[in-house]
Amino acid sequence: MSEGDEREFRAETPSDGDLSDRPYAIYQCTDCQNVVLSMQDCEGGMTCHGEAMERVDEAKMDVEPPALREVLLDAFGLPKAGLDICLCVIGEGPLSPGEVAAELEYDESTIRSYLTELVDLGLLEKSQLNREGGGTVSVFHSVDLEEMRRESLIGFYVWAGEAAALLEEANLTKAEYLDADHDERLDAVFWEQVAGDRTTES
Amino acid sequence: MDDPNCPVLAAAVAFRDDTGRVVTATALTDRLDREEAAIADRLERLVDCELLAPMEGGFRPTVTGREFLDLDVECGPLIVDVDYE
Repeated sequence: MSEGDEREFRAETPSDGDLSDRPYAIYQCTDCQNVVLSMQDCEGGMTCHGEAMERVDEAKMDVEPPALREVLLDAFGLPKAGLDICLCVIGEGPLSPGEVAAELEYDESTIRSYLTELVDLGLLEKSQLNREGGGTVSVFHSVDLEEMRRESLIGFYVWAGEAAALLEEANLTKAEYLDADHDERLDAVFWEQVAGDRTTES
Repeated sequence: MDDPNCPVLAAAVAFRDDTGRVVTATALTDRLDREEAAIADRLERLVDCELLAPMEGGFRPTVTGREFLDLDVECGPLIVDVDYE
């Protein structure tokens, strides 16, 4: 498949911010600042403080829906080649990295590099089989589909949580700035603080 | 095995164990509902993955091939890398 032929798997834009027909649900607490994202709208919705949360039916901010390629790259650092390998089920039985490379039109070294990455991400499993004459042979195969579904969603929620924490940090910095007497502009204070936090974390 | 990872390899192992004879594409056509040429092509690929070993007049399953069939794999991809380090 050439670059130009690739379909862009992009989520739909919620029309007029209407969230009522999306495959996810967002709930907000009517008492505190808690906001929850759920992919499964269980009967009765979500609760906070033991009380039912309010479902958010409309987003006031315009959101640019992500493309699948962007999600994989941003959240998991996984380029398209990685997903192609995960989806590479050609006929039956095993393939060598060379056959996968030929089928997908990537270098064999690219395939090997992503196999390791996919194992690290938990999207593939590596088994080692005994080799005649000594040593081992590596077999890369899918993890259980339910497990992959759960782990990829949790992984994405971790990413989304980190992104939300960054936004919260920005909002809190603005609130603190307004309360304090700074000589510098807010943007300078903000980026200095973010840089300081990142240095501390690393 | 009800749902082998590779039906051709499974048939090759069963044939070898049942008869003690060398595995060939011709010999497996009775056990697999497919063209002999397709079986022959798959046998060669299995040799590349070291799941079969060539021997005079045909092939035999390797230890690796027998272990491969025992892997509990729900679906593909199944990539065998004999050079992975």
